[in-house]
Amino acid sequence: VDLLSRSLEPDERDAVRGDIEESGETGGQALRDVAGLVVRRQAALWADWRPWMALFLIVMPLGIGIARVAHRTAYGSAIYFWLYANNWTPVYVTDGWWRLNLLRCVTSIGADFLALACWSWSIGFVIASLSRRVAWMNGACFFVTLLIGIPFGPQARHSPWHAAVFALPFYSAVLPVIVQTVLVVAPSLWGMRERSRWKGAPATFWAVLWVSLMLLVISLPMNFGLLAFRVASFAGAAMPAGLMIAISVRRRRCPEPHPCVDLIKGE
Amino acid sequence: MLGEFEYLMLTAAVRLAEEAYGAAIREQIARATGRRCSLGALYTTLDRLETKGYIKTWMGDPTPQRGGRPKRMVRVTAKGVRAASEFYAAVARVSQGVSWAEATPEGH
Repeated sequence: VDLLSRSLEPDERDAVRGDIEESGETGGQALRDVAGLVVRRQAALWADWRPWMALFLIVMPLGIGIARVAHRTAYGSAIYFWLYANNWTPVYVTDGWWRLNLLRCVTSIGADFLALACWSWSIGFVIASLSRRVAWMNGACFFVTLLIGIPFGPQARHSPWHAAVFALPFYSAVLPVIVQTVLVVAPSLWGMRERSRWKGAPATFWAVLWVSLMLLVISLPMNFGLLAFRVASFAGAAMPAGLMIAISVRRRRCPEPHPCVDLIKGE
Repeated sequence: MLGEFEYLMLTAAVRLAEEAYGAAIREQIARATGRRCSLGALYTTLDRLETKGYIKTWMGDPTPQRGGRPKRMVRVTAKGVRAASEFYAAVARVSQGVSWAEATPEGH
């Protein structure tokens, strides 16, 4: 009941919870009552065209886009995971040249994973910003889009060079799901949560956030193998979360109305 | 013209006067009709009536028997009183000369 009533407006939530408490309704009955009200409220909100436009033009394209990036990242890293796991030798650590190679590989995969997590965080933040009242529904639609993306997403590379890797179900099916859960679902939930906690995001932050998400969309048809492109996409992906951390630290150190907060003009 | 549930709600609110709020109106309607009134129906109808200008609502003070939560208080406006009395008059007019005790359903 508590969780469900959170999607109601604060005043209405209090009145409804009070009515339930006063009438002494049991758990199941109270749950049905609150669910009925939430459904009616959501239905009324979705009678307007704007939530639909946001859903079809922002939430679902971002869901499809991030699902594709997640698959691409998972398959790209799977090749290296398999390569090192199946051919492991201490030389990779003891020999200078091989160690550098390993380090380069770890850094590259780590940057890709971090970029994916940062983009997912940004998407969660944006979804929760569209409209607080339809945020639950938008969030649910985003996760459904991700789920749909698992079986219909880009399939494992069918190059004969990688056949041995993707013949194993772990690399072709399990790893993409793990990547999507850990690096997409969890960070986007975190982003949604941060949006509800972080009031008054500065205009600079919004600009950076949208630029970052535009980079995500632009990156979809591009060759992910190019180093310059990977660096650019990593920087773009990490910017919003990095900026939010920087602003939060600044705000904590210098509570408003300290002049240093004005360095970044707020809403 | 009012709907029947809207009429029931306005009537319950007028009867309760200063004590008209969500749970009390709900109880009045359940007692009068013998049917449970859902929270969804109650609050969406309250919103509709307020939009039409038939009632005015505001948040009351928190009370201990409600776990420290406030009530959504309701007051019927002059426009609401007019609408309810018009509805009642229409029901009275259309019912004139009809005896439900003697009426027989079609086909019997």
